[in-house]
Amino acid sequence: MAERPGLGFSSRESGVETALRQNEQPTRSNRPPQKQAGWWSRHQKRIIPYIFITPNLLVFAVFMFIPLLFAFYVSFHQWSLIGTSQFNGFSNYSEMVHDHQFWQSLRNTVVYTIGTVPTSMVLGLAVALLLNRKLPARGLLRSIYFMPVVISGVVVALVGEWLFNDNYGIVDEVLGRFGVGTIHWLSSSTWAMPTLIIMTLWIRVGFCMVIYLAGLQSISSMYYDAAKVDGATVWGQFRHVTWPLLKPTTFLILIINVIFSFKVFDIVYVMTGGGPGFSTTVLVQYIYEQAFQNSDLGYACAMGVVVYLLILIFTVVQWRISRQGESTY
Amino acid sequence: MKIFDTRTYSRRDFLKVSGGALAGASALGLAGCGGGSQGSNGKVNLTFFTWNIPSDTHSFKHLAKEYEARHKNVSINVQIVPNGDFNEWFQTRLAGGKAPDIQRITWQQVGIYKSQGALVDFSPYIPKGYSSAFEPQFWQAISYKGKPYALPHHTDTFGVFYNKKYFKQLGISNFPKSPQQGWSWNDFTKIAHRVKNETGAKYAFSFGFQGPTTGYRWLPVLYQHGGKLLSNDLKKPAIDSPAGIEALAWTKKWFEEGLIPPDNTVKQTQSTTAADLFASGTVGMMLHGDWMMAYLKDNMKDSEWDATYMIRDKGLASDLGGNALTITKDCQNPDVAADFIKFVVDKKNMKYFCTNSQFIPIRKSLVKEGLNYPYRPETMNRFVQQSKTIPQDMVSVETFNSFQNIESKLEDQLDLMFTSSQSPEKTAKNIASGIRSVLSG
Amino acid sequence: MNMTGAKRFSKASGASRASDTIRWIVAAIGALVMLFPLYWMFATALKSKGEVFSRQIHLWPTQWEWSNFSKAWNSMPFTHWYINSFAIAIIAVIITVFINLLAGYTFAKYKFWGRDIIFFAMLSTLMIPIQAIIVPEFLIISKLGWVDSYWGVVFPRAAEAFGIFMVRQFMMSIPDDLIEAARLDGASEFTIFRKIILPLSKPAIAVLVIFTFMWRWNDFEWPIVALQSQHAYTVPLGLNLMQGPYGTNWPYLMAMALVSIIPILIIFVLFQRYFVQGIASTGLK
Repeated sequence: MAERPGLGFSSRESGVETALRQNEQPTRSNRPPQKQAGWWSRHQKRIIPYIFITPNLLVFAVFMFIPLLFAFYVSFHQWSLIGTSQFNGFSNYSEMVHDHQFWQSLRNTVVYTIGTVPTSMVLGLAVALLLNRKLPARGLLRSIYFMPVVISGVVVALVGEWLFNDNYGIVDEVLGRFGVGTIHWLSSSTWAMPTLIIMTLWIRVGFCMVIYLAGLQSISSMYYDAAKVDGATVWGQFRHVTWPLLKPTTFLILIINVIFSFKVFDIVYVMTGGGPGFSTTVLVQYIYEQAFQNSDLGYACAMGVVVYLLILIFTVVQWRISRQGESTY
Repeated sequence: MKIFDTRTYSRRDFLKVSGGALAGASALGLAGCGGGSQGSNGKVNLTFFTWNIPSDTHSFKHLAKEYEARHKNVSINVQIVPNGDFNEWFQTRLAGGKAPDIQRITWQQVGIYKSQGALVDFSPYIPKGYSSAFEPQFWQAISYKGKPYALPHHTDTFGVFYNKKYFKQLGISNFPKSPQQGWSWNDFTKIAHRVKNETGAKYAFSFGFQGPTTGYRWLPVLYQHGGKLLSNDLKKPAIDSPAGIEALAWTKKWFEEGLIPPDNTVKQTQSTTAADLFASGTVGMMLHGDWMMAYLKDNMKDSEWDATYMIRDKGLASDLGGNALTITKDCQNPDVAADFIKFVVDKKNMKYFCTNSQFIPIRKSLVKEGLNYPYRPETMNRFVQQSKTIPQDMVSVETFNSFQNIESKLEDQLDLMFTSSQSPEKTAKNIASGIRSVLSG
Repeated sequence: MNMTGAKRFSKASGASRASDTIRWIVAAIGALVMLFPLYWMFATALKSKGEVFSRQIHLWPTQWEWSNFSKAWNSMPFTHWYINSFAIAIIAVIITVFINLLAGYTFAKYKFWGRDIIFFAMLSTLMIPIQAIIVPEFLIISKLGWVDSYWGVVFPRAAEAFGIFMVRQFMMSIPDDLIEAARLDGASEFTIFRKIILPLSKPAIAVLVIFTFMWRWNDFEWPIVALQSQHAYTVPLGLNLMQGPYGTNWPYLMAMALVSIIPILIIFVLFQRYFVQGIASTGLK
């Protein structure tokens, strides 16, 4: 396996390296017989990429791009799904500007995103730092933190409803024993959103932890050794080694989390139905209501397009910022 | 212009696309439509969707079997609509040309679908004068421009369930003898306070308006007080009136005075339903429909509860409950489906269904005869009497084409008023302006 | 292999051992908080319906109703739903892993016209709210005749941009020289993929398998539209059906919700060995 140059320098390649070791057959023994340089072998490198992506391209085209174009098209129409549709230009979009429920949903979505994303990232990183050390029962602890991640949104919402139930909920019962009065978690417009955020954190922290753990394991100990030689404190090591080197990981977790939070639906739909009042109506819930309860698919699609563009813009801006950050380091 | 006129896809195109590769149920269904009658094996397959209520499903399955026994070439597949929003489920299927052949539907839901070509006109399948056998307000509910788009099947209505133990504690043993003598708002409020303060109940009562598209069940309160949601010509909102505001204010008081559990609101989902709150003794009374009797039968001791007539104020009003059976435009054998529905709503089978699942019949002859309910007939008969108090103007509002959209505005504002400091005046105003936007759009 | 952080601290001093104890306690308390909702599901599953709705809330069930599990299982066609869920999840895993490995590899290692724009377009689909495209998606599967079939659930969700992204990041870390050397030896492009790339991709495959299985197993919003009749339902749709319109049997529901988590936990344990390593090596940069 001498013909493997360039491995082992970057810590990120540890997975590949291990896999290479496990791959016991030397690649050369599998060498196929030399072929005559026909048209195919001259051109295969140009054609093969298209062949390789065709299966994926096909499912994306049929089940994503066409529906997306369709949604875009519908967003310029008034259509109630069962009746006929009418072209109405940009009026769905201009309706959004004046629709204060749309703005409230956007505000709620932003509140939910701000409540869930930074918190779960900070907690996830903290747990990852704790569990990256050799502690007793580390594997078990990691598994416990990760376990909620595998639970479906519907089940999470059901459990949330049950934990925070006004009359039979354990949370109020436990708080009551500590002398805290009854809190109407899901039926007061003050507490409903925090309750949704708490349930979301339950599944998000483990997710962030796992990715941060992976990021931490890719940081070569060389950096820490160097920092120690310079007499850096634990905080100093974190500040000057861990955090900067985790930047790409942080960027990725941030984007994934923002996408998850901005598109949240099932937890809200099951736990609060957008209420009390409009206090937890998020954008996707509002899209859903407009499409199916208000039979206004055109307006729903217009908002869908806006959500799509909002997340896209956020991602591109973040990506630019993270690129700039990298170049200054 | 139409974006997706599903009717333009011919079935042959459809078969071409699917290439016969999927020989499953869907392919069978498709094969059954070549000439508009029967498939290659001569069998007509119909799908029939009902709600997730076990005793109803059981009754429908029984009727389907009986029909199949008489018509060997027909097979009826009884299925359940998933919990959640019926409209998303139904509309998506209609758009995809995959709606069920037969759909159970409420009076409130039928409006928007009958007016938009989603349902099949029954006129060719029923003899002249067929409608005269049914109570007129229900026939009106399923008609659009003089044509019936469903057949009425049953109705149900609200009453006041109460916890016998708690009422014994209170020493209340004198219950109303007729709907006209039902508890007035004043009596009810007094009793509610006593239930809350003097019994083991945490709250006084629960109200069955939780969950999506059931906010209309609040409307009887409005109509009891002489209020109206829409003007009689259905062209203007009418809730923004002194009566309307008073009805809203009275309801808001239930929440302010802690008579009703704070999570018993319109948008609150199914974590604890009005029925569970009542069955567990958390509340001492429940304003809900007669079909809850089947639920209480399984979840509460018979000796612990009973039900009396609906509350009343200036007038009487109770909920317009019940369902019709309809054929969707995607049905390939509407003649067979219509024949089956006629079979289900005939006198004998309507009686069978209603007695088994605690519903009220809507054939005049059955209403006149009265049914022998096997389970708690006395209690059930109170609901039967109560069903005669459903106000006609409320019926025409709830079965109006645009009612679904109006209702979603109503639900939003009710929930907002129940759970925030929004005043009844503002709520009435907002509902009215919501209605105006629906009517103009 | 690199030294991991854990190894670094194995030679810790006494002072840092004390602080490690504190850290462990903090981590353990956090773990208990994370575990509590699961415990509460378990405790609820074992209670009688009467106890669940009683005003006295006990942290511990007063009677252990183990029969709730079998009764709940038999109250609905769960066996059938599990077969459907497994079939859908397994078919989806096979398809997704295969096509995403191919595409991810291609995006990482080939230069071709339209590459970046196609990649970006695919990634951007992550940002579409499903509610906005659920109607056209249903129109398409009903045109294909896939309503109520496994394919109708599997294929629309096979367009999984996360997978492509992860694989691409992973493949970027495979040295080009390896591929070039094989090319010089005359290996065809597909042979290179099969004989060189695939064996190297185990960690990426592990991550893909776990996430795809988990997402498909838990899918709700799409299957509830794509599947019409009860015999075609998956487990989450069945759980939804357990919430009756007039009341919920919470012990039964929690029992079945707990059971529904077990298959993913098994998958997780089976592939865990590769999992964190896999995520680490999928780059995330």
